[in-house]
Amino acid sequence: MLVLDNLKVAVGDTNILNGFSLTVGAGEVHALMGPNGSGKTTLGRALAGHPAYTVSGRAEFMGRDLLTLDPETRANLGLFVSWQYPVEVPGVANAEFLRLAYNAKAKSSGKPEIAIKDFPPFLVQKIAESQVPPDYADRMLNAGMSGGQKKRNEILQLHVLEPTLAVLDETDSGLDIDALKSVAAAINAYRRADRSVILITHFQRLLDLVKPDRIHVLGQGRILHSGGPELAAKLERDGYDWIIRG
Amino acid sequence: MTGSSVADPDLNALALNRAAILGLPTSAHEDWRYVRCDTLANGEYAPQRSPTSAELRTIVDHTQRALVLFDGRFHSLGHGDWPSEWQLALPTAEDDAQTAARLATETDIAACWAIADGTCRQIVRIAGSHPEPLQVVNVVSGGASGFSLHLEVAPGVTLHVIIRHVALAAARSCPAISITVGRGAQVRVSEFQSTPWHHLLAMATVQIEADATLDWTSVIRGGACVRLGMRALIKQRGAHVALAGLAEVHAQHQAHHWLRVVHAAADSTSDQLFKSVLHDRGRCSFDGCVHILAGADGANATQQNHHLLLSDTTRADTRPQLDIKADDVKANHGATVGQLDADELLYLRMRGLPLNEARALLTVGFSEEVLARLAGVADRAFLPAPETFHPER
Repeated sequence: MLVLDNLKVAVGDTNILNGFSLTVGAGEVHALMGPNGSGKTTLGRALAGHPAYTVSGRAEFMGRDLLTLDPETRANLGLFVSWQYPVEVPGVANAEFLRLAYNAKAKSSGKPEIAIKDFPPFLVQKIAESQVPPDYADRMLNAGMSGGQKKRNEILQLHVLEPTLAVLDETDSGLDIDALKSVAAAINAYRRADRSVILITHFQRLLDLVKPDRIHVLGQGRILHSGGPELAAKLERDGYDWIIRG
Repeated sequence: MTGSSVADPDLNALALNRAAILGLPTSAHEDWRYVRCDTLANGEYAPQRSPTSAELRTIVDHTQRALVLFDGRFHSLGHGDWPSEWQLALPTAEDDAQTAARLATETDIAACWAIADGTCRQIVRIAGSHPEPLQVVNVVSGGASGFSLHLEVAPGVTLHVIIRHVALAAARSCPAISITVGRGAQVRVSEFQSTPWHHLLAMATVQIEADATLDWTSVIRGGACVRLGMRALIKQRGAHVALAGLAEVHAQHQAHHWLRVVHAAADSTSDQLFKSVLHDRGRCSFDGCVHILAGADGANATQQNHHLLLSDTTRADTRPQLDIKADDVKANHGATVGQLDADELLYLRMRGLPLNEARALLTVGFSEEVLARLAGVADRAFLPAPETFHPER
């Protein structure tokens, strides 16, 4: 599904990722962990097509060269990258945005678009699936939401858009205990044999609820260490020093 | 119940004389500094003509009760029974004397033109509340015209006024609308202009008495040269004024808001929110000042102006001002001139929206804060699609 090989990402004059390689197969869940500033968020944004990033190397998604595509084409191909700090868009209704985004994807993949009248019941169903409060249908796009609410709103987007690959950037930050369980349940509900997830997180608590197939530790702009789900507990206990210092 | 058009030759002459003294507005005039006035000086207007009934039907549908002014002349009351609470009257000799006195010191050219070019001086006394809005439709077919309309709203009355400006061809119109909001009354005004060839120079004058509320929202969708002026006097304690405006201009259209809000009484509040969206070579400005006079303690005023530039060849000017003579007040103002937020744009694109759709959605979002104030106004549906208000593109 996703093949990244020797990926290099620079923001201005600063190299953030330097030889990052990762392969994610269909149905797999990978967790990316690592110290602050190790490039986890940069990876997500580079994959999404941030126009300010200079990216080289190989990034193949669903058999397409990701680096030649604009952000909307990547999204409509099935790539969903959540934001660590989702931007507030005042004046834009959440429901209208979701309908337009849904239809943009449908249109690009040759599927029928959803009519305005048919969208509300569809959205109600997605709200239930993503376990967000019903009033999210009436909210503005992230505007006036707390940090945790914005993260949950992105989980609603995930369920509406049903991407093939979800890169979830610290989706667990800012969530209370109950919200974390709801979000984890919603991520698990999204999982299917043909859908993959990259979880960017600092904490074992999310990985206890959403079991990863592989855990990778970033440092120095690349993956320094990989392991199975048991690695989460060791990182929680021992930190990153033993990996960073080799 | 009748309306009529009565020109007063003496007042017309006085206004013409005052207009001549003031001279054609130019950017050298402080209050017109942001307006490209050559379009007024060189304006070639279509000849005036009578409206066809089909034209009127497209402007005022059969369900509406409206005060229709055609080329500044009182035309009709629209359709249906005119509510008994709305009483039409003509100016008295005393009213005319006051108008003459005001003209002697008038500094606004548009206010002079409203009378110099006008044949209609109408008064509507609103004696009681009525569930339907009072519609005022200013239709111009060409040439230069103006009219004066005074609404006198009795204490405690609730009133919604919808004002629509429609130019059927290139024309200059100068409506002067004044409203006196009686004690405890609640007046809401929704104003629309969306015809591209309109040179609309409007001047509104409002007085708000104790515990009364005036909520005025205007939407300008293009226009060769549109300038909406407002003088609001908060006369008595506890009154509140909320003024909002949205201007969206394409091609070489221009839209300007000029406002002066005077707090002359204690514990009064005013709130201004004006936004503009500029495309192509469009031009917009906001020139607003809140005066808080000595003794108006406890006044609370906010003033916000935001311009969104969607091309490199637009021009936006902003001049928010506060003039405070009282000690114990709250007042703030702010202005921004900018482009679409790059992060917001990227966010929408990362969810699959093509660039043009993302830009359009963000533009709607920018406008929504003002448009939301028109909730429940049927005319919101009247807002034409963009392609209908910049046909020369």
